[in-house]
Amino acid sequence: MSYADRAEFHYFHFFPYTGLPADAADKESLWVDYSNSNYDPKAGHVLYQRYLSEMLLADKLGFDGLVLNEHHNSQYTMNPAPNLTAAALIPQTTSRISVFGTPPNFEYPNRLAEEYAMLDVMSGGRLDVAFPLGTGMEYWANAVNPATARARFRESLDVILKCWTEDGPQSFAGDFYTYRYLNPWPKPIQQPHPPAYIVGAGSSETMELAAEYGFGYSVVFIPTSMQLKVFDHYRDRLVHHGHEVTDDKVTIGIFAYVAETDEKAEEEFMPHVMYFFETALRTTPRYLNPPGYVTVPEFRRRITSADVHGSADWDSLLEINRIVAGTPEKVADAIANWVEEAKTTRVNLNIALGDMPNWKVVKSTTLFAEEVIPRLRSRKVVPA
Amino acid sequence: MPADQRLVYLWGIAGHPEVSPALRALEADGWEIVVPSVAGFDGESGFVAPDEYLDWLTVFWDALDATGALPCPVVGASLGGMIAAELAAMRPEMVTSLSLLAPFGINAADTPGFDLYAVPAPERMSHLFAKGVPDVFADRFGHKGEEEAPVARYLSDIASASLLWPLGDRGVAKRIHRIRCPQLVVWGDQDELLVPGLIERWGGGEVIAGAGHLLEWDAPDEVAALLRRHLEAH
Repeated sequence: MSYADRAEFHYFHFFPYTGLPADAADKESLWVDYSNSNYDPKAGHVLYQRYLSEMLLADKLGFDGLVLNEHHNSQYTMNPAPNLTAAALIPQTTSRISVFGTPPNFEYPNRLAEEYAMLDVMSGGRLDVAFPLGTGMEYWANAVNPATARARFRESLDVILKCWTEDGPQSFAGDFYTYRYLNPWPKPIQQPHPPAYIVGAGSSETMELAAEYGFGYSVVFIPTSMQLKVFDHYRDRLVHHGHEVTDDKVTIGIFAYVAETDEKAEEEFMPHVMYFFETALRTTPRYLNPPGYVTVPEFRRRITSADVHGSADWDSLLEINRIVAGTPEKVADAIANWVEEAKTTRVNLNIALGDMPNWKVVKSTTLFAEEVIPRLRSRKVVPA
Repeated sequence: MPADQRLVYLWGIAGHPEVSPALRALEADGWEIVVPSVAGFDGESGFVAPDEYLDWLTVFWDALDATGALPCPVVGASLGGMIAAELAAMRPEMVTSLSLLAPFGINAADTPGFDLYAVPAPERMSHLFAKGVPDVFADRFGHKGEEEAPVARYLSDIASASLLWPLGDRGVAKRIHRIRCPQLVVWGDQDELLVPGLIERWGGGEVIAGAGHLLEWDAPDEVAALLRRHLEAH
C-alpha cells in the first residue's frame, strides 16, 4: 500500500481574527505590540461561531482529525487557549482532536498534563498533542525569560511525562519546578499517553529532542527539500534512541484548495495565501529571536536564512511550502507525491486560511473530502 | 589619595570593552579599577546563561571574590548598578561605599522605558548614549570579524537580557533598606531605558543634564567629579 492510501487528513484551522483596520497595512508587526484596541469582541464572537461551524463541517465530512494551535498577542489566531476550543468541539465531534499546542513553558507543566488528560478522557481517547517551544514572539507576551526557554521546555516535558506515565504521588525536583506531591487526576485514557509531537523550525536541537523522547515531529518555515532531509535524519535519530519508526511519526503541513478548474482554484486561493503570509504572519526579525531563545548554532542559521514572516512572493512560497490549488485530480496528485516523498501518512491540511470567506472554506473543504480523499485512498504510488 | 586605593567597577548593559573616560580620570588620581571577569558579556562562545537570578548572583559573587579586591568601594553602572546594589544589600560587609550610575533593579510598570531588545541589534547602541556612540561600542566585537561579531553580540545580549528581561526590575526595592554604606546615585536626564524619575526610588541623587543611560561615557567630567567627591568623603 502507498502512503497516500493510508494518509490521514487532519483539518487545521488557525481561527484568525480578520477585518483589521486599513492602517494595519502600514504596521511593521501585527504580533506582540499591535494593539488589541483593534480587536472587536462582537466581530470575534461571529468569527468563533463561524470557525467552529467549519470545524464541525470537516468532522461531518469525515476528516480524520481537527487541529488547533496556540499563539498570543496576535491577530494570527484567536486561540490563545486552544484547550477551551477543543473542549467545545469534543462533544460535537467524532474525529480526533489535535491540540498543536500549548507551549509547556507558558503553563505549569502539571496543569498542562492535567488539561490534556482531561481532554483525552472527555473525548474517549481522541486527543493528539504537540509540544511547541513557542515562537519567539510568544516570549514577549508571556512572563518567561527566553534565555531559559530550552532548558525549561525539556524539564516541562519531563514533568508532563511523569504525570502521564507514573502512578502518583511522585516527587519531582528540577531547576524550574519542584513538586512534593505530583499526583494529577485524571490520567490520560490512551496508554502510555496521547500521541505527542514536537513542532520545530528545522533546528537540530528540536529535532533531536523529538527523537530522544520518541515523539512525532513536524517542521515549518524551511523549504520542503530541506524538510525531507531533516525527516530522514529524525528517523535515524529515532532508531538511535531506541524508538520505533512508524508512518505517522512525521506530520507534514499542506495548503490546499480545490475548485472546478486549476485556474479558478488558484484565483480563489492565492489572495488568502498571500494574506496569510504577508499580513497574518507579519512581524519583525527582532521579535522572532529574543535574546537566548535560540541556541548559537540556530542563531547562525537564522541570520543567514530568508525571513518568511511578512514578506513573500508566490514562487518562493511554492518552494518553501506545500501549496496546491486545482482540480481534485491535481490536488490528489500533488498530495500523493508529497506524502510518498516524506514517507508519512499524517497530513495537517490547511484549507481555511487567512481572510478566506466562509463560502470558499465550505466549498473547498467539501470538495476535498468528497473528491480528493477518495482519489488518494484508491490509488497506488504515484511517480514523482 | 593613597596610591594603593582600589575600587571595583561593574559594567553596564553593553558590557565592558574598555575603561570609561570617567573611570580613567579616577585612575589618573591613583585609583586602581578592578573589573571582575564574568562569562557571557565578553561574547566568547560556550556561554550558557544561569537559570535563575540567584544563580546569576552566585556567578557574580564568585567573580568578585576571585579579584580579592573586596571589601572596597564599588561603582556599578546600569546592569552593574543592580548587581552592585545587591552586593551592598546582601553582603554589606564587602562594600565600603556604593556609587550607582543609572542602575537597573527597580522599575515602574507605568513608565517601563525604552525596550532595547525590541530594536534590531545593530541599532541598540544608539539608545544607550545621548551624545553619540563611542567608537569602542560602535565597533563592539568588530575584532571578531564579520561572521562572528553578530554571534558575540548575541551572546552578550543573552547575558544581559537573562538578567534584565523583561523590565529590568529584580525586586531590589525590597532589599535596599539593607544597604548600610554611603551611597551615591547618579542619573542622566536623557536616559531612554530607565526614566530619571526612578532616582527617587533609590532615595534621590544627582541628575546630569544631557547624559544618556551610559552616562559615564556621555558626561565623563561630571561623573568623575561626583565619584571623586563621594570616594574622597567616604
